[in-house]
Amino acid sequence: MTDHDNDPLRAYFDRERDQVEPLPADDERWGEITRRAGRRSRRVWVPAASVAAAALLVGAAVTTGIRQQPLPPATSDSVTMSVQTPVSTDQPAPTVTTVPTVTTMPPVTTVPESPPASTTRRPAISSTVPPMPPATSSRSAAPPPAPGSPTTTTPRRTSTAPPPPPASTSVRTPPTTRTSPTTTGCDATAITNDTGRVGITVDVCVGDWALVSTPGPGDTSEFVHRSSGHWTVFDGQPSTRCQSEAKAEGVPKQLLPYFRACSTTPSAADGRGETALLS
Amino acid sequence: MTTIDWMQGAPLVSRVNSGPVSAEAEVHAVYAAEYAQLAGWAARLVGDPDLAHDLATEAFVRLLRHWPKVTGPRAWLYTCVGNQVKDHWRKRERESRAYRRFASSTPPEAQVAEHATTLSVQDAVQSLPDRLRLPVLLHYFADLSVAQVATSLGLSDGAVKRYLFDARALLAPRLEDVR
Repeated sequence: MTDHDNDPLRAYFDRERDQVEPLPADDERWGEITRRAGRRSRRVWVPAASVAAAALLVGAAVTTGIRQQPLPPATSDSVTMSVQTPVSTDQPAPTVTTVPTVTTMPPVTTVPESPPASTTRRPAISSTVPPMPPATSSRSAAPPPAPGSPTTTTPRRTSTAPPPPPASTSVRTPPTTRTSPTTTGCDATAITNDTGRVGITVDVCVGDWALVSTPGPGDTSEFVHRSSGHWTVFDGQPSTRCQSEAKAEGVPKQLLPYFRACSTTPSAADGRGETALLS
Repeated sequence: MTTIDWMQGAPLVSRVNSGPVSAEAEVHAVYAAEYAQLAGWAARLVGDPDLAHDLATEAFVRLLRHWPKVTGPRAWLYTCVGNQVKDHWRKRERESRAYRRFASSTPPEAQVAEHATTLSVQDAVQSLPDRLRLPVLLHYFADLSVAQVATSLGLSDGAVKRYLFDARALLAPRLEDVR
């Protein structure tokens, strides 16, 4: 402890602590504690097991997909592609019909097909697999539904708009780096040094803003902000700030959902507006 | 006597290797020694004995689940309850802000003035910025050492001391007025 001889807070809180009246601690309450502790620890296994099962499933799907894929030498010619797909398929007619639609699309389609994150990603393979080929893409990328049973949907994809970017980016993450902008760029050590927090984990990182947490009981998440190279704690999480306030203070839009949704009236004199809960 | 020792935070080697049955027995010992005071402490902060019981109970539930990893149960419990109290206050602040919008008859300054002669712990701590609240609660009101507060909150000793210094600067004038 520090020297509290002339600490006004020490005297005040000592006095207040003396007035604390202990509440009864009975066996019934202890029984509730053990019951709840047991129940919760069992519950933890349910989501953990389902996550493990899902991971196994995806892993199995990806490996079988890779095995079935012949992996030809990379050529940018779409004609070689048309030869490749029928070989790899175990299903008959439909895949063969998709091939022509693929070849009709000129090599240009490869560029818009792979969304921002994936353009740098697979230089050799993407040239072989132009606009989402039927069997190969669904296997190597192993997107959501059924990795082993592709067919049908591919022809449409090639002719219409590019596929939904989030799905493809998240699936294509493993092969290369780049797709996790969430925690890169926010150095936990630098944040630790600047804020004095110990054992910081960067949960989300957006530019000069991050949501970090420290190991400890209860809610330890905080927003930190870097200005002129120095990290400072911006607010706790959950925050009492409205999204509009946060936005005005420079919080990036990716982090705004963490703040409260309030309706703002611009009448207040301080310029921040009065706030009210929506619900 | 030994109980007191490990309550204050000394790591228990034997405790780590103990099984679930003895863990429960050990936490029960902590419960017997600490629960009443902890719940009373929480009640002083939230002003509601039922809610205080809930918070203290929740803290013990978590303690039982994390027992093998907990080195200083007392500090751990008070930190856990302190965090819950802080969250509760945040919720209440949000609600009262929304409520104030509709009940605009009494200006907030007048309400504060009414209570100016008796400052509760709750008001005192709530008048502080969010980052200072827990260090003050734990160090001054729960009587934990700076080192214990630092460990519990994942801060360095220096950071805790700085927070306490800031809190003193903010609260001391208010306490002068109250006396």
